[in-house]
Amino acid sequence: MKRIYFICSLLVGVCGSIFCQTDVPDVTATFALTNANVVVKPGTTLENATIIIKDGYIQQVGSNLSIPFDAEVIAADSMFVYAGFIAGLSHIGLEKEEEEKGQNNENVKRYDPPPAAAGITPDVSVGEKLNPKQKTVEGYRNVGFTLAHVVPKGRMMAGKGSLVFLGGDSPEEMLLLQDMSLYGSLLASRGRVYPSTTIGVMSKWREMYKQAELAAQHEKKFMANPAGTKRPTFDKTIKSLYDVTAKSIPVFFHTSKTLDLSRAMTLQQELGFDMVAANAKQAYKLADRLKQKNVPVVISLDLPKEAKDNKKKEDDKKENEMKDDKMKEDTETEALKARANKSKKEYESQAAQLEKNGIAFSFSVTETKAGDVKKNIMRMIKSGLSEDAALAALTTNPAKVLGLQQVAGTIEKGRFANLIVTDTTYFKEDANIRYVFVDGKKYELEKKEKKKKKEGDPDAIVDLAGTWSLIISADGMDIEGTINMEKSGDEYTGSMTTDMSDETEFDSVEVDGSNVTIKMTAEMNGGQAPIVVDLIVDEDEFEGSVNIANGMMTADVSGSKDPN
Amino acid sequence: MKNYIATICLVLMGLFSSAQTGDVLIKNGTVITITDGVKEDTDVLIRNGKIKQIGEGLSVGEDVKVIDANGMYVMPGIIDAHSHAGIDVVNEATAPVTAEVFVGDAINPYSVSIYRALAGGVTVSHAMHGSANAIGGQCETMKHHYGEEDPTTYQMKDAPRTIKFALGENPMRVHGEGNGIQPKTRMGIEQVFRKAFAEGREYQHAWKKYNSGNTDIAPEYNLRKQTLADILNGDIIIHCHSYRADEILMLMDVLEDYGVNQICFQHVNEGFKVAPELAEFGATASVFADWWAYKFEVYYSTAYNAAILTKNGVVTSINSDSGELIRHLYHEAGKTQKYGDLTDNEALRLITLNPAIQLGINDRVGSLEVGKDGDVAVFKNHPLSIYAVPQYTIVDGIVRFDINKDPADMRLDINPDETFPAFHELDAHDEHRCMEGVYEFLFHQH
Repeated sequence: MKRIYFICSLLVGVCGSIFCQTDVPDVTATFALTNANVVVKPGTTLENATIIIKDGYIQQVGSNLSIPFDAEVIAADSMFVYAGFIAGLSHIGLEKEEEEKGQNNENVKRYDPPPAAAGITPDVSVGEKLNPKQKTVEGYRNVGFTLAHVVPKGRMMAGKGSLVFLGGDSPEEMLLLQDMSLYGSLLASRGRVYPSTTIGVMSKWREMYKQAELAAQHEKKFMANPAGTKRPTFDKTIKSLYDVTAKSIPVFFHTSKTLDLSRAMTLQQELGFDMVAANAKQAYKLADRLKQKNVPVVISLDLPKEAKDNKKKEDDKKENEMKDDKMKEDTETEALKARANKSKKEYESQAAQLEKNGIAFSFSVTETKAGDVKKNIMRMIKSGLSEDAALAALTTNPAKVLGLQQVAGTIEKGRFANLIVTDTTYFKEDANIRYVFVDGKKYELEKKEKKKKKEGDPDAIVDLAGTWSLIISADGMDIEGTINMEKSGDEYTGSMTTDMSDETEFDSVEVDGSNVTIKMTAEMNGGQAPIVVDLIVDEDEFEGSVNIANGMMTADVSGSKDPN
Repeated sequence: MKNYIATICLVLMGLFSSAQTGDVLIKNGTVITITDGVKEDTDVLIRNGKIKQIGEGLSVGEDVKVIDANGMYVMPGIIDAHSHAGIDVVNEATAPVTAEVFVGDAINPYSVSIYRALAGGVTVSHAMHGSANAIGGQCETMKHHYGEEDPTTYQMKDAPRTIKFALGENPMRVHGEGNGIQPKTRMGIEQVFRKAFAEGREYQHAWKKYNSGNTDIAPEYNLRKQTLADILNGDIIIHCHSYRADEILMLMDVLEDYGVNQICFQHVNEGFKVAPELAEFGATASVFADWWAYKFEVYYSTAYNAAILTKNGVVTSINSDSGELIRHLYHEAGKTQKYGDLTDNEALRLITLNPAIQLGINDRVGSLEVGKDGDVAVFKNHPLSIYAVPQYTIVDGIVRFDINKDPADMRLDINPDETFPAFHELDAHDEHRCMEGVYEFLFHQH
């Protein structure tokens, strides 16, 4: 049985690769989208207009256009066309392995580690690491993104970012502009090597910046007059900062919380580099300072979990029933909950607050799954963000920050043919994206079925054996880990390892159809704490929750089986 | 030239982060000035954050907040010369010398510890780097503007720079035992200092040569050595974690060799043994009232330490080094009357003017004088009484603590994804934080 399944999957693989090959050239590179509502830019819509695309560019926009003979005509009656979305910051197209550098620092001198071990890799270029087949490329394209600013994953100085089309068959085809930014942060090294704290990282920024300034001067002197001038020493790390100190590229600084932002701005103020506040979640708190220093903002599309009152009434009902059973919660807990909910609302209203303050912003999707993009934009709109400002954050604003305003962000003659076509206005909850054009290439999307929340199926047969990668999301932090499952007879045994914990053996694994319950015990604060993981497994994926110490902490978990 | 640039920088920094100041009139209190005796039924008027007038029957317009201090005691805001409250990071423990790091970069305005300190009458604290390294990081003299969310507004801008040094077991354990590098012994620590100062001096000379046009290419920039050069230059006051008398003498010898004279010894539990030597050197001392024997090198001490140091002419303060003690430093100061018979004024100086001197800010705070900052603590009952209870704490003319308006939840930044029932670990700020961040380090070593 297993063998047959294996052969089947092999066949699917072979067939898939035959039909998906793009060796066959596209029939035409000319398209006409006719009779559409064309949202030229936020606030400007042309009705019953036609867009003609040729060889990757928008050739014409207007009415009464003559359709070229070789055009594939898409009757877009009653549909809406928008400029393709641009991600202000992302890790799209990068493999997972790229995530963390310098974790294995056992043999390194802690007080003087090599730069890479300390998370200092400004010489890393993201361009070489792009994988057009990586599932995020298609995933974010399917929700409307056509261009992305892709930065490497990493810590203090992760490396250089590039501008990338979300389409194409090779990294070269995807790349629009390489090494046009530095992605930096105040994240300390992972392996407890210098700099191991925020204060160490801030000092290191100061020192390296000054070193790069002086080294660039030295090099210039040497080039002008090499005879008798002391030879500059070659340091690839320092050298790769010359573009930053010369202010020819900006630093996209990871500034999630208020304190990160304030600290990064302190560095910017002292050193003078061009800064973009990236992944901001609380930028509204420092709106004045941002405005004063004219720092562009890329806000995180990640949001806290929705407050209870936004959820379905059913949940409330359930909770009320539970309350009747239990004791009524004390007023102190109620007050704490109210404050947490208020805080959620503040995070949701960041975008609206920035709009009110006249601060232009775009979106980062480094911490947001493609599937949550629309949902979270709608939450921001519910909290007061205007649709026009939301659209600007997806199109014209990132184009400006990334230096693309001549070629992207609006639907005008001469712009890249990066477009999305929706069946109704994008900002309606049930709008579907029907087509995405990237660099003049058409991608047609299936009309998506309403996805129901997964429920356990007691009759399902699941195969847990193997290695699973998982992400536990707790307190706005993602913890990565792996589960190893072995099957002997009908019983499963296994263990879990995460970024935050060593390998822990399971006490028990119960399987009921697709419902799986894993129990284990972990050392916590000198005591033993029970951990219960409830999962619903759907073939090679699972979703569920983790409950630590009888409800002391709960977290969501999702994961997928690693291919062998 | 350098000074000129520094001045411009200071002016620029001032533009971006002006801490708020306010006006307040405190009426009819018993005013303990520290420098000019105790004045009954006296008013203190603060305007734009500065003390404008001290006298009887002062009046102001209706726009100024008035505090009726009738029957209460009005004293200068308490100053803690050794604290780790209000900062995210205490130790960059990876190297024996990390002079370049600066805890002012890690100010955390969301730390409720700052509010708790205010509730104990403390208006200024010296947020210090930890004692994991022989030469640790630079410290921050912080004004307790709790309620502000911009960390830069907590920095006391024109306070002199200070830096943490550490003697004895902590740096030996972290680096010698932990990493197998110098310093493994107390002798090793002396050599770490000497080597660091020698490097600083060399660096200073190299830059002098470049700046005077004698060399064409700038020396390699090194922020650590630059900071050491700044110490040699007298720009930074040293605050040194210390216990044993022999080591205290050792460091004074080293400093004498390198012409450095600004030092405050912290903890200095055996300071009473070398009080005359400290006084002669001009060193100051910041001590616990009655806390010792928590490890071997601090086995010997006495609750008379502060009094003995004071009587020998050493400028002495009593510090907290703890989020708990910082809430009742007035009580800690009172212990010197039981152990050492200090006068009221001598005892209160230990938590006001003396720590201000040690931090180089006595021209601005530490006593109630016209022209000084409007930092005031108002007490019910005499602050040295066991029944003392802080009522109002005022920083730069703004009431930051008012016992009548003291809600249960004073947090400023709430985790939106907080889960309930909330699981709060023991607040790290309540613990002794000198070695924070180091334990994890050690565990992974053995």
